[in-house]
Amino acid sequence: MATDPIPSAAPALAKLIQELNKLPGIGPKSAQRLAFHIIRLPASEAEELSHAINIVKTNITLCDQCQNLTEATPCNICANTHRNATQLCVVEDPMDVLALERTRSYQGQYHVLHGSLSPLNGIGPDQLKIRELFQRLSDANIEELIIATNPTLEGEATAMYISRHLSGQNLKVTFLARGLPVGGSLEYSDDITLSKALEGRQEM
Amino acid sequence: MPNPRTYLATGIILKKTPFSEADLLINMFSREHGKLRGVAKGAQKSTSRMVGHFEPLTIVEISANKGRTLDNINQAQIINNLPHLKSNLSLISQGLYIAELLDGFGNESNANQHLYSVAVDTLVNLNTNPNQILNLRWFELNLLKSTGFGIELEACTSCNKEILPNHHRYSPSHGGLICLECNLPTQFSQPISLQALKVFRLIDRTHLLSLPYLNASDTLLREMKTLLGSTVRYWVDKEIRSNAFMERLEQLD
Ligand SMILES: [Zn+2]
Ligand SMILES: [Zn+2]
Repeated sequence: MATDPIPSAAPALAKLIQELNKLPGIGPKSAQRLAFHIIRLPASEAEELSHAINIVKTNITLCDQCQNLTEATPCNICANTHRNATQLCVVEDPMDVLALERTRSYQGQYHVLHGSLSPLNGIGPDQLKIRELFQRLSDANIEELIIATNPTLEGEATAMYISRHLSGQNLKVTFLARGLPVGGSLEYSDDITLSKALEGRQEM
Repeated sequence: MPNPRTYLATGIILKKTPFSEADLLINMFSREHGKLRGVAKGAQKSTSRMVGHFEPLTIVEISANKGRTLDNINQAQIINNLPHLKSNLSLISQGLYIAELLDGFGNESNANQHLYSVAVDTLVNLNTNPNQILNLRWFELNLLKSTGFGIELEACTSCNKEILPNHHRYSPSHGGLICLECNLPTQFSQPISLQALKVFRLIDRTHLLSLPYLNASDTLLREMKTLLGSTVRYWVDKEIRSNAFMERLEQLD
C-alpha cells in the first residue's frame, strides 16, 4: 500500500492518520487531510471531538426491542405509542432507519439486522439479529412484516432467508417494490424513490 | 491511440466491497487474467452507469486500466445476470460455493480458461437447470481436473493396477482410488460405493449439459457430496465458509 509519508519524528501524528485510515470511506490521503485539520483545531474543539467519541462509545447501546442504536431502551421509536405497533419493517442498518424516517411515509416499528447474509465473509444468520426478530414476531402481535433489505445479492438472500422461515405462519410478509437500483442501498436512495418503493410494497 | 495499459476482461464477480467514498473494490475470476482485483470508481452511487453490475455471481465484461496496486475498472457490461439463480436462496448458496472455490483455486494474473468455462457452464446450468442434481459434483470434479488435482478413477493411485470391483477405497490425499492390497491406513482413506464410483466416472467423461438426470437415493447423493467435498477441502487447505450456510439451508427444507 502507500508508503508512510509521516517521518518517525511525529509518531503521534502517524498514529492518528493510521486510526483515521481505518474508518470506512477514508483512504490514506483523506486520513492525512483530516489529521492535519485536527491539528489546526483549537484545543477546545479537538477536546469536544474526542469527548463525543468517548460518550458515544459509553452511552450508545442497542435497543432491546428493535436492536437499533439508542441511548435508552426502548428507543424513542419503540416507545412511541402513536406508531403502528402491528407493522414491522426489517432493515439492514441503522442508516436505513434514518433513510425511511426521512420519507415520513412510514409509521410502524423497525427491526435492525445489523448487516446482511454474506457467507463468504463468515456472516450467517447467527451473526445477524435474526433470532431476535423471530422471537419478537412470536411475542408481539405483528400483522405485517415489511422486508426492506438492500437490493443487493446479500440483501435479497437475507430477505429470502427470513421469508422462508416464516412461510406458513399467519403473517403478511411484504417486500419493497422494485425501483431501487440493483446493487444500491436504501441509504443512498432519494426520499421519493424510497417512499414509492414503500408504498408499492408487495407480498411474494 | 488506445492506452496500452487498458485491457478488456470477461469474468464472474466473486465479491464486492465498499471502498473509499463511493467506490467498490471488485474481486472477479476472469477468463483472460485469472483472479483480478479492481476499483470501480463511484460505482456505489445510484447515478453511476456501473451501479448493479458488480453483484456477486454476475458475469460481466469490463474495461480496465492497469494500476500499480489495483486496476481501475472504468466500464462494465453485464453478459449474464443469472436471474433465476439469484431468486432462489439455495441456488445462491451453491453459486457462492463456486465463487469461494474459484477464489481458493484460482491464480492471480494467471488465466485458466478451462476452469473458467467449467465455472460458467455450472453457474449457467444452475440458472437454467437447477434440477440437475449433479451440477456441483460436476463442478468439483472438473475444478480438480483443471487445476491439476484430477481424481484417478480407474487404477490404483499407489500401485497403478487396474481396480477390481469392490476391491478399493478412496483417498483424497492420494488423488483417487487405492486398492486394498496397497493397504493405506484407514485415516487416509475412506470407503466408496461402486455406485458412487460409477457416477464419478460418468461425470468425468460427460459434459454437464449431456449428463442424464439421475434418480439417485439421498444416501448416494450424500456419499458423493462428502467424497468430492472432502477432496476439494483437502486441496484448498482452508475452511470453506459457504459450506456452513449451505448446510444451514438444507436443514430448513
Ligand atoms: Zn427500539
Ligand atoms: Zn494398489
